[in-house]
Amino acid sequence: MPALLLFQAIFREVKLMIEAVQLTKTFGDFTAVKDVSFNVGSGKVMALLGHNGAGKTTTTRMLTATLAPTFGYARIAGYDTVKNPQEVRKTIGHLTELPGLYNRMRIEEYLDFFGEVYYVPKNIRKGRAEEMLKQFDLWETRQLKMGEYSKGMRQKAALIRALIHEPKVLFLDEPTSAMDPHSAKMVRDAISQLKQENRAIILCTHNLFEAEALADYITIIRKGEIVIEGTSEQLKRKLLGTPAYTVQLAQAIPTDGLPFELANLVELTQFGTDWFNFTTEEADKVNPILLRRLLDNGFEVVTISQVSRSLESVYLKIAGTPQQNSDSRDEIENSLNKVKKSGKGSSERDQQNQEQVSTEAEEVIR
Amino acid sequence: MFKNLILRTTLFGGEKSFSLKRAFIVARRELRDGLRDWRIMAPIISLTFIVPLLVVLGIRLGNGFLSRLEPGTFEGRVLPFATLAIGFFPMSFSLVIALEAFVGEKERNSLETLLSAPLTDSELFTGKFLAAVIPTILSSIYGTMVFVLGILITGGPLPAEPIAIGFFMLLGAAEALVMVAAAVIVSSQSTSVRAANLLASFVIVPMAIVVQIEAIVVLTGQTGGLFFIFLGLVIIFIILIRTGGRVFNREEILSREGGDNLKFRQILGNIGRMFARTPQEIIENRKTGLKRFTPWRLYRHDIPQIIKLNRFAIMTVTTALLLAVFIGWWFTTLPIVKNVTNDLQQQYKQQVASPQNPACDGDTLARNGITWQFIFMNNTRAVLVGSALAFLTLGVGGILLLMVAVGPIGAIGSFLSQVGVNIFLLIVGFVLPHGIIELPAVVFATAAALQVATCFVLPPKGMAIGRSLQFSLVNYIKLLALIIPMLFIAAIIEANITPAIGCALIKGGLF
Repeated sequence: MPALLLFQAIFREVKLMIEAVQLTKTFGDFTAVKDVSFNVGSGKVMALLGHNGAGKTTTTRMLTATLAPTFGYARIAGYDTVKNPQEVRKTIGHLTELPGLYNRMRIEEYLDFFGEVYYVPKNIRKGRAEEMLKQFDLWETRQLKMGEYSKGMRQKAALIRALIHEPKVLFLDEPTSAMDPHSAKMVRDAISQLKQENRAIILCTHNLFEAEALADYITIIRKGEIVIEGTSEQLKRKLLGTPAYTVQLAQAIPTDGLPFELANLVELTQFGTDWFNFTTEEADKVNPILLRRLLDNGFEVVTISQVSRSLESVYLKIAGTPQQNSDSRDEIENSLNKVKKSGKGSSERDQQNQEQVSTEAEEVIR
Repeated sequence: MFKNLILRTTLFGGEKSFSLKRAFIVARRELRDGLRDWRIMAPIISLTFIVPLLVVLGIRLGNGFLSRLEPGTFEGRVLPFATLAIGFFPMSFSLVIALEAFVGEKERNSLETLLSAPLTDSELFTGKFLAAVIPTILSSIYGTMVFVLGILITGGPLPAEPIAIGFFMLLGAAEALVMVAAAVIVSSQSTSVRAANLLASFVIVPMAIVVQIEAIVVLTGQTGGLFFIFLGLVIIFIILIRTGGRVFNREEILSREGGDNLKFRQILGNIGRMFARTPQEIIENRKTGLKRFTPWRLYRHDIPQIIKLNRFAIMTVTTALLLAVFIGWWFTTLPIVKNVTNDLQQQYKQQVASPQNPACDGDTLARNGITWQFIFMNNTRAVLVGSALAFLTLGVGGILLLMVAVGPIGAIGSFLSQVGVNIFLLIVGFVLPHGIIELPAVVFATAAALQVATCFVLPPKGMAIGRSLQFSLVNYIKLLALIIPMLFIAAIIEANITPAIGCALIKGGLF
């Protein structure tokens, strides 16, 4: 009985809201999406990354019940996208890549229309529209026809439309594209808030900073297939190797090297006159020891920080360049195989690098 | 009123629930949007107010000329025709709204948002349809009323009987229903507004012909004929709505990108792939593990599946065929025909029942060029011409041609049975030996052609119109692999075996 309660408690906390199982979509002989599987729980954001034409939109369309998968299935909040498309559509909010507003309508009329379509009672939708228009700085311009809106305003209007029925699941395709920094931050804050409200969100974006900042999981898709998935940290670790840290000292490192043994503690990778870099798998354990040793040996430490590694590096390593996407089929196959094997490859490279760095570090210490 | 009106319909396949109220949500938005568009408002005002008044003015100014017409012509024919025409004018802008219904939204990138909203296919289609048809019908009625009032105010008589005016309005509504339904289908199947406008000819031209027929009917005073036109329009509307429901496919609408270019290679590729797969595999979009195209597979799997798919068309053609025989039979029993053909009947009896019947002399047949090659070529040509005619006339031409060819069999049968020829033996002797193969071949061919011609109306579920056309054409060609050999065998029998059996019966004195 306690086990059952625990089980329920866990599942009340994080409920599986988006479930894609071996989703495959073919158009004639062309396979747009192949064997795509992932899960997104409530209160989680998954970023779906990939070049244009990689299969993100087709995947999203299958999840929003506008395309039927050729193989596999998807469930949204427990509803099958093929068997219960209407329930799926009621549950989701979908911000498409292009806002596609009705230019001769005013924003309030537009929201009222979609509110009614999404079964929001009239008395509620009016108040909700007002609240969101104010939140996204569109209240003052509500009398304008949407055809007069700027690109950023249009994007915000479309986002409000996607949220008008307070959907449990959101599909956001480039939510901050064409927005000024202020508006983009406003939208990112709104997404964070939605996440806290336990919505499950799939974020399709080319803005890697945004993906890293908002997403709990990142899935990179190429030529219709998932090539890698995981948290931002997992991806970086897998593709860029062990995290690196830099120590900035207040004084210069003696010419004969650091006067204590570091080799058994960390892997030194680079060093300068008053700084050095190292890698470690267990920063939380190793860094305090290292710091203590430095202080005990009379070194004053100015900063110890992680060397920044961007998601962009991961993305470019995995997804390649758009030109590569137009390569011949064979080259793409080879490239995909390389990507699939990249975990192994990178660790081999890391090992070689680390061996080289260890030798250099030993020399420094000596 | 419509709050709780939820209809269950099989019109739109998988998504069966339909709420008129929700369709009206879509329609209301469309109407509000459309009425703010000057491209729509300008013709509405012009065609429903200015044009009727100009016609009234024209009639008044032309009073001198019109008074020279035969008595009763102006009141009985010209004014009713004008009333009818005024009601039709607003139809032109209905196309502007209807043709943009789906493809316009697609071009403005707002369609995907709508398609991912919780609206069923039937609600979306009906909403778009209502948005285009409501202003059209209202404008038609309004324009007619402006004209009638204009005539009355300027001292003229009522342009037509009140009941006729009401019927003209009803006829206008039927025209609007047909035009809008057809245009909405065009819109849901087009890749761009430009393509939709080009395809609009398929709506405008037939409707222009209908209006010209209406004009002839009214101007010749045969107004009763309008009822049949109205009935025809209603039937066409029902067929179109059924078609609209069948071909509406949000997946197809979204997936169809940049299809304005004629992609011959792609079309040929599709057709090639259709040849390589069985009809069942194509419809279900899956592979069944059968080998690629082989003659064995064609005869063992493809052709039986095609015949099964065409079963309703085969039933239709067979019914038409039997009807033709019956009409032929019935025709010769009419007293007027019977009197004329009494002498002929005797001559025919003597010819058919005589051992000198040319059919009993193989040399005579050959001398007249009636060889199996001739019969085969003739029948093959007739089948292909009939099919071509069917393709071009929604199947009607092909069926009529078959009826015209078969009708005389009934007539001759009746003709000879009246003078005592044993009709059963006639059929056994002169029709059945080759007919048992030839007639099914002709029925299969006409049915397959009918299937091609009507693939727009009832494409297989989930198949777009273009693909449906390719599919039915491929099926037709595959079926020729059965039809041509059947015609070949039938021709050999008809040239060699049928005369022998028939003559044996004749010489045996069985006739």
